[in-house]
Amino acid sequence: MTPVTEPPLGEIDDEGERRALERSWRRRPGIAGWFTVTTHQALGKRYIVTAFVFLLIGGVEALFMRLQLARPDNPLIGPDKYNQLFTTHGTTMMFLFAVPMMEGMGVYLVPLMLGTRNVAFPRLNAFGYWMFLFGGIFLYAGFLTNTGPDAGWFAYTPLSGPQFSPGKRVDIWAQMITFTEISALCVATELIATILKMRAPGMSLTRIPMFCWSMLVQSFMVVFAMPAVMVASNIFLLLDRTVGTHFSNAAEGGDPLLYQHVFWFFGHPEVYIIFIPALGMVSSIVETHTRRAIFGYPAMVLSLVSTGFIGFGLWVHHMFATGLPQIGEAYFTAASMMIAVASGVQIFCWIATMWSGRVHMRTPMYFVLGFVFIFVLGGLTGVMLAAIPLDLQVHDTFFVVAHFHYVLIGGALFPLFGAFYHWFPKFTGRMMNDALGKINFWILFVGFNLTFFPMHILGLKGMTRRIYTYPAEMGWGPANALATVGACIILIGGIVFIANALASRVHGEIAGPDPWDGGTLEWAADSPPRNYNFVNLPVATSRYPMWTPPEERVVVTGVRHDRREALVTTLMDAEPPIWPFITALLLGLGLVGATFRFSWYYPAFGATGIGLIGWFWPRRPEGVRS
Amino acid sequence: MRRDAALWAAILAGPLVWFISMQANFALAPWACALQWTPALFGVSFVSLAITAGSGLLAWSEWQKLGRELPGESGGAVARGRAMALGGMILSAASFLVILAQTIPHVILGACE
Ligand code: HEM
Ligand SMILES: [Cu+2]
Repeated sequence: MTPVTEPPLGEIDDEGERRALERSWRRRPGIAGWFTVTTHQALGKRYIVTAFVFLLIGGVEALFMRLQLARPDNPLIGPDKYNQLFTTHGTTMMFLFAVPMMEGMGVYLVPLMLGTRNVAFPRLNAFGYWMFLFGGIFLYAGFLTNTGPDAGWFAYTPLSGPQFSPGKRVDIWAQMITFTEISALCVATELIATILKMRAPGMSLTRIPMFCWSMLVQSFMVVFAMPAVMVASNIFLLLDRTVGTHFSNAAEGGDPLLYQHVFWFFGHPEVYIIFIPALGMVSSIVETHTRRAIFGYPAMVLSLVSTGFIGFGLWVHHMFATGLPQIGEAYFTAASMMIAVASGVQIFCWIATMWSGRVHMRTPMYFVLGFVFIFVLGGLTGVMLAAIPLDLQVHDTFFVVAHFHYVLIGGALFPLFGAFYHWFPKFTGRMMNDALGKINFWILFVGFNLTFFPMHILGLKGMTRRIYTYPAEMGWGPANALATVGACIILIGGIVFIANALASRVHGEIAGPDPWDGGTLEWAADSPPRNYNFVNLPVATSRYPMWTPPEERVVVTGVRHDRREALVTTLMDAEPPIWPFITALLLGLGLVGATFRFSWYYPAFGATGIGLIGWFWPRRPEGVRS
Repeated sequence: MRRDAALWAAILAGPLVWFISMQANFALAPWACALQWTPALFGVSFVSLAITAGSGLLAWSEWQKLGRELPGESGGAVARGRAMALGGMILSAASFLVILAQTIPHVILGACE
């Protein structure tokens, strides 16, 4: 490996080198290619598209709920179906849309931003994707056979226990968690290894792009949070339900609150697992569209890290109504208020960045500003809810539903839409239509506020969440009707987005590698990137290598191109392998079986072992002769 | 080597001590009520505040030795050391503030609320 200064980055075009790279990073054609792909762009895109489909499905469920609630005593949907709807909606949005979407964006963008060719552990990446997909299919197989989970997205015991939830509904929920959690852990492991070990030469700690920092913090949070939900859903809940343990059975000395503690020890960090990557996306968008180095880079990084830590000290704020000692609860009020400071730092740094630069008001910036507005409102109600007396009044009302949609949609969905508009040229090679994008933004923004603002008022008027209908005397009709109108507007916004994406994919203006004049290394690759990302790996000469004049940019030569090699890591696969898919399939079948009969775990683990043997069977890399 | 250890300690001490102090106080709260004795809660908080203040000072003294400069964008051991020292100072300060905020309940509430 020798850094050279000539010829500059992006302009090397050694035909032979390119051909060799093409050959060693090619995908298998046809169906086989589908099951064996291990390149991060293909898997990232697959994560993103699949998660988007789940967003649509969850959105349709939400629309049905809104139609049901549009007027008092509406006979459209009965209580049992409504229970399944809100549980499946919440579960889908959290586990099948928000987290996998963020993981997918990370899988796609992190290696490009770091100037490397793939993530560490590409086969694990494929395995993680398949587990996620199978988990989603499993949940919907249940939902479509009237076995959709119906105990809420956090499945509190004792309601979710064997006594009050007989049948398979809750088991499916609990096991679906296992699938998505394995997937999240796979991605977290890869991204941590990739970010710590595979950065472009020269990319010191203080030059890592903000989005990569955010994925690093998020990945560590996944590693510490996901095991907790596994303990809650798989050990406490599933064992109580299938083998008859008594973790949550107070009559036998168990404790239902234990489940809540462990669930929320995961559940609160979960919202930051969703939100922190969104912060990274916003930073990328802001710095690119103002063409200014992000203001207060160290402060930004440290506020992400502090959020990552403090996020683990808030969980009891979901349990203020459970009668814990008040002095104990008060610690969590304090921590919940302090974490707002960290988010405040981010927002101030973005404003300062915009202040110092010239803001180019293109669609991604619209979504960023929409995000700031909505998220600040959601943050305000969050600080209100952290106050125990207020929380006790509005706990489990629509006030809470309004609050968490403000933070989840404002804090994750708006940044994501901004990110789609921002990176669509990288993903597809074509620009999205900007004028339609702005229309898209306004429809979503108006629709969102129309849907969720009235819910604050409904909550204060006493409308509890998770009710399938209400009598006219309560006076909740008008605000609910307004919310339903808003939901229909959101639907229109969604359709406009899809239409824009589909049309732009075919007819959009050709983007070229760097349409926004971005500073980070993903813009050095072709659009869409080649399977190997870069012919010559770039060197990070500054925090924004693409903003250094072309004659000062540096690349690395000497990395093998006749086989799948990336810097720092060892050799990758010779041939795109089928084993991650097979292993996921075997483990998936076992986990599904174990939902019905516990003893399925034994063959499941046996079969997974066989899959892993195939996976790790030593093979000679291509181009290495004995 | 010694510097690395000091810098890592400065970075990790604040958040870890904060987490432990919160857990300890949360677990002690029912006992404090049963025994009508809050000094234990204060004790945990004060010890934690002292340790985080110490880790902040440690980070600050390392930063002094590294030339009292902001990390900037460059790479290399010195810049990395400065970045870590700055991280240690800020994370210690943040942890100190959170612990302090979590001490307020001891002052306002009795042990049995
Ligand atoms: C697209 C527009 C959306 C609409 C119209 C919508 C609407 C709703 C409604 C009506 C409920 C049920 C309230 C109840 O009866 O208790 C609900 C619950 C919920 N939503 Fe959404 N939602 C949307 C998007 C999202 C997104 C993007 C997320 C997360 C990323 C999300 C997460 C949740 C969660 C976690 C619940 C709680 C489920 C439960 O009670 O167990 N929603 N939503
Ligand atoms: Cu929370």
